[in-house]
Amino acid sequence: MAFNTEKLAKIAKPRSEEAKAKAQFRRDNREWIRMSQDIALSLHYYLRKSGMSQKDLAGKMMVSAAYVGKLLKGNENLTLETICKLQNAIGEELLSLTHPYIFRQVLELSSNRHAFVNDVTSDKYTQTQVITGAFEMGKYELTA
Amino acid sequence: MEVIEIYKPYLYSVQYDNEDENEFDRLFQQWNDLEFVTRFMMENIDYLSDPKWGKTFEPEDASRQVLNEAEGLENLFYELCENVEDNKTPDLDSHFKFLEGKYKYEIVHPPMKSYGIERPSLLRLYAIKLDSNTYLITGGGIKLGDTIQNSPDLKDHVLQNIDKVKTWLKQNGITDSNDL
Repeated sequence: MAFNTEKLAKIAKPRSEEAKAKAQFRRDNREWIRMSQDIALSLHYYLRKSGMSQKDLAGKMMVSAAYVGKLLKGNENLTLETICKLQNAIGEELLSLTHPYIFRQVLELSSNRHAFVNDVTSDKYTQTQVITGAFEMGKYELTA
Repeated sequence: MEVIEIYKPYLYSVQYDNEDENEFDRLFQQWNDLEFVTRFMMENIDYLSDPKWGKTFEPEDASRQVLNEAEGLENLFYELCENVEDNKTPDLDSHFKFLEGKYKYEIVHPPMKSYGIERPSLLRLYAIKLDSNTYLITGGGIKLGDTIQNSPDLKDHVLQNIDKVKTWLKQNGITDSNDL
């Protein structure tokens, strides 16, 4: 039943500095790496579905095939210019941006409206609700 | 074969003689490598049409899940082991599950498995429980089949390596020979 802790401590070697640095890099750069991976996965999908080769894509973007290969690995910190070039080359949107200054409005909702809105828990007679996005707007009617 | 400290004294990993990296770091580097993951999914695209996934599983979608699960699982071990309060141990016992199968009746230093963070999970880490909240990672991979034997990334090494490591632990006096 015995587990020899001392023996394990004596025999075990430290984790390599390289492995620790790679793990730290993943933690520190998680957000932009995830976006780069999402763009790369979308590219993989569009290329596969359209039958376009990496070489064809490189030609449309006027970059080298090697550079397209790098983009498809999902660890490039892409510029907006590169993203636009990619979108134009494949004819699809890869990133969608929100425009909060267009859709963000403060609505006065009556208690009657609450019954139809799942995410409103207040039982007050009136409530101020901030709604973002045109899609959401369809759920409500503005009260006078 | 060597034992590498991942989060000493709780989590260790085996490094096999034919590998440049220990299994824990090798697997997380592999699961974060989009080129490897997408190629693997394309090579095994037939497994993605299995009804058990409950959806049309495009290779890119499956790849995204692997990347998500790798991030979540790596972060979970980091948070558990790096943020341990004084005089406490990280609760690894709640995370690892018994592997069972051919090891169903092994209660001393049992082989264990760790799922990824989504359900159904695509990732598995395998380990031997050395002591309470003390584990030695023996390997892992992407599980596409219903069993280890039916999963292309697991079938050729997972159980073989567990047996190899158990013998090695005994020979090196880390576990008692009577245990095995």
